[in-house]
Amino acid sequence: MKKLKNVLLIDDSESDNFYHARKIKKMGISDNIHICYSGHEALEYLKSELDGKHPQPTLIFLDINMPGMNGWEFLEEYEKLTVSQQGEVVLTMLSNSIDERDKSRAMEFKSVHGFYNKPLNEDYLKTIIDTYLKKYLT
Amino acid sequence: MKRIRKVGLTNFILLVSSLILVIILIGFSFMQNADSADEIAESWKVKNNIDQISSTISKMESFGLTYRYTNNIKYKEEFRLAEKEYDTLLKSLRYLVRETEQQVKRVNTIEAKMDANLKLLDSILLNPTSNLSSIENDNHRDVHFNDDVALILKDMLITADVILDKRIRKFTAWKLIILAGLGIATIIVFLSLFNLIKKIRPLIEELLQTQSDLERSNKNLQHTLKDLKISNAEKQKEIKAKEKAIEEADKLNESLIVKNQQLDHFAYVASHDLQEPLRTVSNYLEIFQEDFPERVEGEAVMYFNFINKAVERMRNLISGLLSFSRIGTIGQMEEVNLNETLEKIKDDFAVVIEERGIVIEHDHLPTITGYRIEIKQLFQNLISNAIKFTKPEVKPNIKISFDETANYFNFHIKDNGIGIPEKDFTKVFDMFSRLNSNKDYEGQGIGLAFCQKIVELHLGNIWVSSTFGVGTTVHFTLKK
Repeated sequence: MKKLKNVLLIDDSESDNFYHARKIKKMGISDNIHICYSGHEALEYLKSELDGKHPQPTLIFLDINMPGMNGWEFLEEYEKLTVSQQGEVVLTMLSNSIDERDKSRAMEFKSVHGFYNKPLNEDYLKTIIDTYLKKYLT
Repeated sequence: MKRIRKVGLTNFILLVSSLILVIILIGFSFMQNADSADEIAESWKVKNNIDQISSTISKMESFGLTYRYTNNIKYKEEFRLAEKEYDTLLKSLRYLVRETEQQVKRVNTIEAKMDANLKLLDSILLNPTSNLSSIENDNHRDVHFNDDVALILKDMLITADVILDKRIRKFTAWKLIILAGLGIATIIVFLSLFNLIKKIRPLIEELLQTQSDLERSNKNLQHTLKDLKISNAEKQKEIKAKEKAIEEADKLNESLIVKNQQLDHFAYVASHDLQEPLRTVSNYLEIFQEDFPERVEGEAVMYFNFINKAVERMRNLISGLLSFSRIGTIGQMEEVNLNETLEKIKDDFAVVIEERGIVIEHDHLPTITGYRIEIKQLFQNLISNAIKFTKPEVKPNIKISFDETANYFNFHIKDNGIGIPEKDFTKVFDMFSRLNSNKDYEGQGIGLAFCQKIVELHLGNIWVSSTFGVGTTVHFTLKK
């Protein structure tokens, strides 16, 4: 079974990142998981990725509440990047928020493919893979 | 007023008509009386005339005889004068007694006799030298005539006296009638006045009574007015105090709203922030059990189970609290078609509806103005409760009925579940309150607290009615 080249986790919580990374690895989706602790850092990472320094992430998990640039601000900036416009990247929200309004606000962004509550579990991951990423894994 | 007019009018009419009648009577009597007086005067004239005639005849006789004996022309002239006087007097007497036939006859007799007499006298007077014997005879005849005339005159006088007497009686009678009329008029006037006074007196007394009553009530009114002014001033004070109280209450309300918002915000922040460490605990419990299965054995399994359950329960409580604090804080009121809302809920519940053979019936529901997500949550929670609190072997039957009043939409959601004991009708709405053990019915005890908050957000009320063991109806109202 093929694996995704790169998965990006954008979250300020170290323990969550570790847990999510472990889940992704355990499910055999990807071995290459990059972690950014803020929206700003993630933007920098994605911009540098365009210069070919590292493989482009196929799947991104984005938290909302982060110090500095939060999830919303990141989305505003992210949609200006060409990488988002290629429609290749699957970005899903992964947050604490159970608020319906946060969910509908998130779904208004073209680049957002899903809205999930922490913690990331196997059902979520399977759904994402089955819906968007089958072609990379078979 | 009507009474006064009635009494016054009849009395007045009676008085005036009596007076007019009496005055007419008096006037008539007076006229009669005046006539009588005239008649009396005439009678007196008659009498006077008769006397004068009598004396004139005597004069004529004496002058005539004197002339005969003296032949003095002076006496002849005197005689003529007397004769003329007699003529005049007789004429007037005839006129005066014209109405009494007897007297007129007598006057005629007198005239006839006197004419004869006078003819004789004239002849004597024209022939003064005729013999004395004849004169003697003549004198005799003369005397005889005179006596006759005197007798007749006397009779006339008697008759005149009789007439006079009659006339005087008549006069007196009319005088008495006048006096009686005056007396009667006076009596009538007095009686009428008395009657009037008698009738008016109670009215006057009534009026006086009313006047004094009015004065008294006026005094009372002034008193009341004073009291009113005083109480008015007190009221004004009260109003001011109330206004102040209202102002304070408004301030309190405002601060209460702010405090409530702060509380909601606190609940939100607290529950949101509590979620993360709790999730970390649960995540690493999981990892620990995965990574070190050899360490989780024996009693450790039981410990881990307790910890996992506690963590799970805490997570549910926190997420419930979080959602609760979020109600009505975001979003706008909008038009919500409840029929569509209900269809969505049915879709959400499709699996469980299929599994348990649930029947959901509902009236045609209105379109209301409210918070879309909260309203859906309200119906969803109540339907979910109805399903949850129905024994597994019973097919849930849920009926949603609707009616409306001027200001409210009223909804009733009826189920055939386990029911609620009456003592717990209000308790069920308390946050985290649960009536059943977790073993039988899982839950955090926030569903109805949620519903209450949503209903209150829409300025409505929520309550339950239930027959324990038969079913429950949840009633709620939403302000139009």
